[in-house]
Amino acid sequence: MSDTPPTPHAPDDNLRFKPYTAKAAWPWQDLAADRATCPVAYSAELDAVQVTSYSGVKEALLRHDALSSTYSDLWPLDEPLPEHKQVLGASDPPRHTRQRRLLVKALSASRIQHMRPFSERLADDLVDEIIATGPVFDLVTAYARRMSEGHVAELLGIPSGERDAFARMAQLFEASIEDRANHGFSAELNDWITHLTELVRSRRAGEDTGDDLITQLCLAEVEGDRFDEKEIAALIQLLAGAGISTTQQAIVNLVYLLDTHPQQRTAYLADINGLTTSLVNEGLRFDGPVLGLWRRCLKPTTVQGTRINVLDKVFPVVAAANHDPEAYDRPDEFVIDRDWSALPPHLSFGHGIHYCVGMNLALLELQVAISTLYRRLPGLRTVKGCEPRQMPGPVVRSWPTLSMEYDSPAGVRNT
Amino acid sequence: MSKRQISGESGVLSVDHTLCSGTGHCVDRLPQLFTIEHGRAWLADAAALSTVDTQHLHEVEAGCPWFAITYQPRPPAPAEESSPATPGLE
Repeated sequence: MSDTPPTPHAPDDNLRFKPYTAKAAWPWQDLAADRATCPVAYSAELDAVQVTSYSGVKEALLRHDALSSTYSDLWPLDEPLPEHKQVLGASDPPRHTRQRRLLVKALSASRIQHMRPFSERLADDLVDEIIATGPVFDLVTAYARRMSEGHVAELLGIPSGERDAFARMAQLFEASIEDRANHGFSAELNDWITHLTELVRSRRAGEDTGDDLITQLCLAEVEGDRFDEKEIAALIQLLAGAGISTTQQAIVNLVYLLDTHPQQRTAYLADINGLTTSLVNEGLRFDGPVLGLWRRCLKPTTVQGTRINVLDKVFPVVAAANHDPEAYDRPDEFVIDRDWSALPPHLSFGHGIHYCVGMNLALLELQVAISTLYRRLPGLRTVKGCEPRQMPGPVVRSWPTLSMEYDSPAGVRNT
Repeated sequence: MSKRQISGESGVLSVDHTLCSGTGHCVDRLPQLFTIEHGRAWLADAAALSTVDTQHLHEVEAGCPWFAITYQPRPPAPAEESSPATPGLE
């Protein structure tokens, strides 16, 4: 009997998850069918090994020694990223370890809790503006994006005169995802690296100082060495771009879930304080901002006993893991009062060394954004006839716009 | 009672709560040593560090995405001095 593990099936055209050619608004049934067929299968659509079980996704995300994160930007690449662009989620140890060490303290649970008053004030201000401008608004541009931009700007210490420009940069990431054939706005994003490199030089020269994360990154030293200017610039770009878009998407996804599950919305309105934490966990499980993550195999390994060959692309489908019946009872039901202390963690923040470094900030933003919105606008609902479409591609779950209206405001400000 | 630090013959294992975010990677790897309470990782009071292979302790330290776990192996006790070999008899 051979000890050689099996390889994935030959490229399978029959898999139902087709995020490029026929992205479903709600992909859970397709992903369940693929999981039932084979949880580690070679997808012709993705040209990659698609992993759809909870245990398989978790295992793949722990295989960072063999499955590299350096071969993808917004799309899978044939060559690794240039070294200065290998940052955080797009880097491997030891480079990844060195960068992440710089960030964990500033983004720790204990530190981020201090931002709660800022967070509540910002959410209230945005709702005030929505109320002032009338009963119909776009949730993305009027609330979710500005909530997310505001938190990232505050944390990073983006100069007030540059906040709109940074927000525009974050939107380039999103816009680029839709334009795979032309690599989107790669050139403009590269110009941003040049601009951010100048910002790093200026901070290092002491022309502009502060106690913010950008300054901390610029001045950080490891064993007496400072980080390369371009490396810090790419880190800042990633923190701003990814940090803004993912949380914005998570807020919108969760509001749309509540809107499409009226019984759950009613239950939430009856106990906002008691249910916000479990609601946010369930929202991230049921429809988090990330569908899946790209990896590239650089040395032979296995996932769930299936062999992965060198240079295979691997795509752990986080959203499929979060709907695996082996991990969750009634996985395709949106249940806002699950007891998360007794459940395995959802994988929307990833798993292993690349676990989302901004998790604590994202949780704070989501909890405050959702609770403030529904406390103050309990009659919130999508405009009749609004049928949002999903942004194409395999990486993100995002409703780019969501037209909403509300009955008379009822709640008062947090502060 | 749970603790933030335990020591045994092989060394000292500790959790830094200023960094820990309670995501439970440590519990996944060594459920006999770690628990999550109130959003942070704790070391079980009765934990017998000596029952865990030191390699696993190094792995749990390296596997924490928040760098909140530290394992400091105890340096080996100095060897007892032995009688110098007698030249010419080896």
